[in-house]
Amino acid sequence: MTDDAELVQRTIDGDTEAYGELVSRYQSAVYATAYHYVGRHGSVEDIAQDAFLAAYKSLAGLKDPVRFGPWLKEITCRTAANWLRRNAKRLQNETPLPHRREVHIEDAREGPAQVFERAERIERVQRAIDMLPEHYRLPVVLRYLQDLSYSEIAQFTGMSRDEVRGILYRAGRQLRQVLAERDARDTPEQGDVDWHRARK
Amino acid sequence: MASCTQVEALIQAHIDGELEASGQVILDRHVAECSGCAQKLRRQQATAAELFEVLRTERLAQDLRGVVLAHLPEMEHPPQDMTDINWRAKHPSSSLGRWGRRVPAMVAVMLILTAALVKAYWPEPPASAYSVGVVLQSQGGVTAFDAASTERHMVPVSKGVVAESSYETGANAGLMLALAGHTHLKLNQHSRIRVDDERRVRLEQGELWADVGNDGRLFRVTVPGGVVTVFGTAFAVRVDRDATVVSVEEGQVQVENSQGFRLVHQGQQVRWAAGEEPSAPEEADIEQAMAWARAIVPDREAEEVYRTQLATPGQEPTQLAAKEVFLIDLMQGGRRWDISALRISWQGPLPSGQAYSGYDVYVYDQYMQPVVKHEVGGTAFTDTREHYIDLPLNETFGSNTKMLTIRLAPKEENALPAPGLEVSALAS
Repeated sequence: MTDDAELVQRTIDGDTEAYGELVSRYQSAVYATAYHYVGRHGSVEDIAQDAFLAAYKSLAGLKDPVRFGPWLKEITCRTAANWLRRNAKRLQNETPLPHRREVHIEDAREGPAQVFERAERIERVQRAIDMLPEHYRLPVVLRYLQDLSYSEIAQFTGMSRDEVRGILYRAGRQLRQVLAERDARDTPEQGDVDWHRARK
Repeated sequence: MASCTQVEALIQAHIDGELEASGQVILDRHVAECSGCAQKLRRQQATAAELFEVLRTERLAQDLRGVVLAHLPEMEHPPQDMTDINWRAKHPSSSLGRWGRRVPAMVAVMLILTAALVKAYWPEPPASAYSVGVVLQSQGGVTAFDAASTERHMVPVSKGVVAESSYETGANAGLMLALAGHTHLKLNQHSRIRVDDERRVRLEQGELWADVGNDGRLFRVTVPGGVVTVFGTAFAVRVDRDATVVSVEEGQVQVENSQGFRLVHQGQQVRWAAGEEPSAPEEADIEQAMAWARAIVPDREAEEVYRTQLATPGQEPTQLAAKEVFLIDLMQGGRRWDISALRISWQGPLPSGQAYSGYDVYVYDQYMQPVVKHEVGGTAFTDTREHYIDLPLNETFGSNTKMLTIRLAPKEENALPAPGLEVSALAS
């Protein structure tokens, strides 16, 4: 497989197909990162697309093309944060899910009860992820949302594969406990969120 | 046989299909004999399955390749090396190109001659000095001196601006500078500034107008007894004998002194006298406050030098590097949260010995009224074995406070930011 640095160089030299290859390679990671930031309420695909366009625009300024992944991650975070800033006001006024959730095509086959139940389950998993230490969350979302391998996660976050493995092991253990506890209790809303994430 | 603790650490990698062969053998053997670990394995598998199943519906549903390639913008090329700016600035209509292409030896000779000239006529700049801008206009008596020498010289148009140099205007004089990062400064008569670098200047006396471009870094104007932090904006600062006045034409700035801080929006003015906190922002006649600055217009040739040498094209103006703005919604999940502290977290623990930038942490409510300020020193990131610091919020917010805006302003732009910096809120 051609390495990132070579694709970056070819892109700078005018080969847009090389950039297409980078998009294919990283679109899952960029999408998952945008999702991690703005959640289900946001225009995740638009943010992912904007992040790739912003990265292309400043690609010639990338000092260490070997670290294209972590650099792209930073740009994605910035793009998502900008989107949040612009939409903070609008999000304030939005009713939380599931009442306003867009119904996707595959949802059409389901009745309102199923749509509601699925939205509940997503919220439940999201809350469990939000209870993890901050630096566990992105690797977890990359793993479970887009099914990325440890190497792919390492390549994108700049961590070593062993660090990724350690984080996913500890995060997995904590998620198991939290989700199992929730199952045991029947009152998921009470007292289980002791601190929660600032929207960025 | 391996211990249960050793085996537990293998379970997740096994589920993820990432366990190497030797680990797999250890796990299989252990699980066959240990019912406790076998159960843990099943539970962990169930958890992973639930996560995958629930999040599956949220996955990326389209291939972005086509849509990205169809909308590619023009690629920006980083600005050229600034080392030749002084040469170009002093020779705006030089025929260097023609001569330079002819004989490489000639270039060498010319460079030596220039070096000799510079040595003879200009004070030696300090080793750290580098060009950060260009003089766009210089009217009347304007003098400059740099850190290495107090010997003043007159300031010609098109001359490069070196870091750590000072400029002073006499009666009826005016000066205009362009700094890297799309920033323009104008200095009224009887004024003195020091340019520390392209993002930091000090107004020691008189009146400064600034139009600051956003390149992702903060811009700071230090005045006696205060500092003005800029988020991409046009504004003027006046230091009188008895007070400092900040007027904002466009965008917003944050002013701060030892007594407090304020956010000042477009069309507003704040002032403070020594030892007082900045006044509440008031609407003011900004046009009039800035009239003097309109009279200073850039020299065309100098602008061209700036444009070709230092300007970075087409940057999208934003108010502040957004990674430094955090919003905390106190009304999440349909209830109101009482927040007892802010948690600054990062990807840690970090190795000691590495220097990280410290931060000023400003907390505003949803109306951008100041709530509290905290400082986090750069060493705080390496002094703890944790990956976070908690900053207490003793203030009790009124029930009208629905959102907090947190701004992190790096104290040291050139130091490394702590990786993965995040802000969270701790509910009480």
